[in-house]
Amino acid sequence: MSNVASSPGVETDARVESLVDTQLVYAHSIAALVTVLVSVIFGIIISLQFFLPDVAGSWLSMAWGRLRYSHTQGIMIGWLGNAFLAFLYHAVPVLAGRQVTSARLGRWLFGLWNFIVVIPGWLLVLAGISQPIEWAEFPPVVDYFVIAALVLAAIQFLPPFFKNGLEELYVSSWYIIGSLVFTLLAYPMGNIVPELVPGAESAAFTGLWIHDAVGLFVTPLALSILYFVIPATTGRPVFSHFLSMLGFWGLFFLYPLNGTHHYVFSVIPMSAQMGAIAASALLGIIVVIVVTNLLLSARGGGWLKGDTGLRFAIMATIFYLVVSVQGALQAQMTLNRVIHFSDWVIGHSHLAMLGFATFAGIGGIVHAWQRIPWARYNAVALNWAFCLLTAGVTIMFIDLTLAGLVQSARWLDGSPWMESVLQARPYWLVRTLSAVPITAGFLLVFYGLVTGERGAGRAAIDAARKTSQAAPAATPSRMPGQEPAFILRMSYRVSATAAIVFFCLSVFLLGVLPGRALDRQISDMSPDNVYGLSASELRGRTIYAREGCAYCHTQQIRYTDADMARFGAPTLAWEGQFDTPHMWGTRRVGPDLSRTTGTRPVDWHFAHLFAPRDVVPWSVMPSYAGFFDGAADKPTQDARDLVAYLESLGRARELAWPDGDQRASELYPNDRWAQMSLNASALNNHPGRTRTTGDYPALADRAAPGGADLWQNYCAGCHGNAGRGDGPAAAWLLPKPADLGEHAYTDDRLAEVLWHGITGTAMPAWRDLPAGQLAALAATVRSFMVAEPVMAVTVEQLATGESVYNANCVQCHGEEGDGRGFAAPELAIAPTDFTRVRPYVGQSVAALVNGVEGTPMAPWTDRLVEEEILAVTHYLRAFFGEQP
Amino acid sequence: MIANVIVVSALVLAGVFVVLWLFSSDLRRRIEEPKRHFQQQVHDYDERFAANDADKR
Repeated sequence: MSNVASSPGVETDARVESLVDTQLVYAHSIAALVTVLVSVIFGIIISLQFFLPDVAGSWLSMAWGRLRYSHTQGIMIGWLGNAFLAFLYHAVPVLAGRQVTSARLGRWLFGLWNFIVVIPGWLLVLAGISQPIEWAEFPPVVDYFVIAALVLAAIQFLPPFFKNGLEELYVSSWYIIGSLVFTLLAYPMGNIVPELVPGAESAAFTGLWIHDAVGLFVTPLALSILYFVIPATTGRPVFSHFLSMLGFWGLFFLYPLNGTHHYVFSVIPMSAQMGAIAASALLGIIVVIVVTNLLLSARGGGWLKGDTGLRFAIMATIFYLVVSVQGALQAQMTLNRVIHFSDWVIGHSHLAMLGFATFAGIGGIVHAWQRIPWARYNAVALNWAFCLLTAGVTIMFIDLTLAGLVQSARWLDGSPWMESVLQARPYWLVRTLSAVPITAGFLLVFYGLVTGERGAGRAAIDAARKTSQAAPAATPSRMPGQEPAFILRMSYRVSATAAIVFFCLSVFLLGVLPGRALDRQISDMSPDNVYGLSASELRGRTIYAREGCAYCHTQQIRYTDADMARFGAPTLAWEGQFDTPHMWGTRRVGPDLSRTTGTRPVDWHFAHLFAPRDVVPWSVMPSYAGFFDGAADKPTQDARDLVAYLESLGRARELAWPDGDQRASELYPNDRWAQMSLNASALNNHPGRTRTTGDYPALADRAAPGGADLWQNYCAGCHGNAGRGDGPAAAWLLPKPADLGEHAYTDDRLAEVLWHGITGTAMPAWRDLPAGQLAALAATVRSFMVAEPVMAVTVEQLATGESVYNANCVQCHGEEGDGRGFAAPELAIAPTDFTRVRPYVGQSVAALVNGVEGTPMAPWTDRLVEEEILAVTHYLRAFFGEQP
Repeated sequence: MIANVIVVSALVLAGVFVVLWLFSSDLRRRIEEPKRHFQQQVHDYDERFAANDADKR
């Protein structure tokens, strides 16, 4: 490295000409814009899949989860990583007065970042090789190259700063140094440690990384841009360098301590959660200081009329204020209880990455680009880009925030899950539409940088200067003969040491310490021989991880009343002791799956994976037809493995319950949170889970309106539009859905089935529907019944029927026809209770002749002749206690 | 306990920083110095280096 321009003086023009490597600024800027456009396309396809969930067909590389992984990694590493590097190649030489370490190293870093990390990372994720950790989805093999790239970046950009004294460093330099050092510390912690520790411990480290990725990588580099671009463009120094340094140290002390706020109300020890919540509140205060300082620095800059880079920088500052105050608030338990897992959080993360960081990144690129003498520059296109991006990001943020509130309201009031999906759909449409101005904005940024006159950026700088107030004359940095204050130098050294200590403290307090507590809890509460995963289930887990299922379905029931009422007992640490890495998730589009075991039959899962909307008409789950050989009843091994894994979720706790919970409860009598889980009224509160016994409410006297719509939303997929058991999913279910047109039911039976479902079949319970809606569905069922021709029955037939029944049917269906024969308790599916269900003659005869596939009811033609079958049909129909 | 450690240590560090700043005018001046230094660097770069580059090309 050569000292081409010792600060602040200027040496010969020939030597300073190459201070900034403009080719690398150019290359990283173009790479940034290409990767952001690709990432945005991924994002658009993802958002479209909320309306066209089958758009990817059986092409798994375009499946929702893989695109989602590629989208976020593309934005963080591809777009922002390149944008920041482009800016660093301009800023570091200007700030340090020296070139970066090596131009050749720069080319290696560019190649490594884009051709070894970003592109292979995407290809591997799309090919199904990834890791299911948020903001760390590129597979471990790519992680090692990211770490290598971060090391190269540190070698490239840090040495120029250390030639000068610490006390001379401007705040942007501090942010650059801090980011490069701390990202290097945090990246391995967040990307590798979760692969080594299981369950809740893994989640504790993931929480740290989710926030460190934003707080130690993205935010410092974005702020370094803002502190650079705003004063450099306005020509006025920042309002207060003291406040900027206070903000800098505050951010680096507090950001790492925020991580666990992603898992508030989880089983991670409450002390760690409270620590993160406190740090989040303090961070909000610090951000207000930072933003106030930045906005005061921009005063008089004429930003709306002036320089495009400045405009992006100031809008980034405003987005930063909003997103940070929002973040501090949503970490607090009162708000977190309501909005967590909803699209509110998605809006928050988009505002952080697509609002604050992206606008800062564009501001930095534009600022550096204007200073590339040979680069083209189209100010008009960039101004339009600013307007479109501002509008698009603002609309998306507001829309997703509202969507989150709507979803939360439905989750809290106990509505059926699909209500939250249905009510979010209009907001999802607006979100997709907001991608139009955003995409156009990015295209215009690209267009603005590759069209226009060469050197027009310089003219833009001059034009902008005229709109800003007169800049004060720059003053020399240091008076001749003055020595730097010892105390200042020492305070920076102490602060730098303290920041490292705080980072280590964050890992210790929010990662290691909770991990130890969780280890103890697992050791105390876990059953002695926990049922682990079989080979098939393990393969299924890999598929679940690969397809990003955890990004829509959480695997953690929180310690909140709403979660307990909807899903059951909150998740204990030992339940995830074999989950490495964890797949807790941070968002719910579909319901939590922690207690899936025994909730649905296998054929329902197959039908749901193959054609989700055939089973749940308004579901937005993508089809995974690629796991089948053309039909839901032809699952490949992948489908079998995935369903086996789903069926394993919650199994260990269910096997241990209630004795295991009782034993654990006695060990932790004073742990309020543990007691919440251990003394929950039910382990699995899934409203669709069938029950074989238990009380059920009678049908309400007054049916709610809209029975036909309810039928379409909840029942038609299996039973068909007219209730004839011929819905689109019917072909794949065993036993087949009942033909409601040829059965008569008592009100009591309809009430029981709607409340309890039918165990062993795909017929779920509907306990989450209000009483009026259950009555409406019952009325709809009755309306399907077709008129049955009257048949003459002779006394002899009834006598024959009685004889046949007593000889062959009574063991299962019982002497009274009530389905309570002595063999009934041993059967997977309860025998029909003829006192409350009367099959039509044709149905009954068909069952006796063919059996009922998927149930213990076998064909009887080898034992009974035609007359006997007809006779026993008439006999069993006589049990029915009520005229239809 | 963790929350207390975080809050107290953050406030103590910020407090020490603020107190030093309040009671040392020299410190105040020196803390602000880098921002003027930065303006000088940017000014030099914009007015001399970039213009020089443009002329050459």
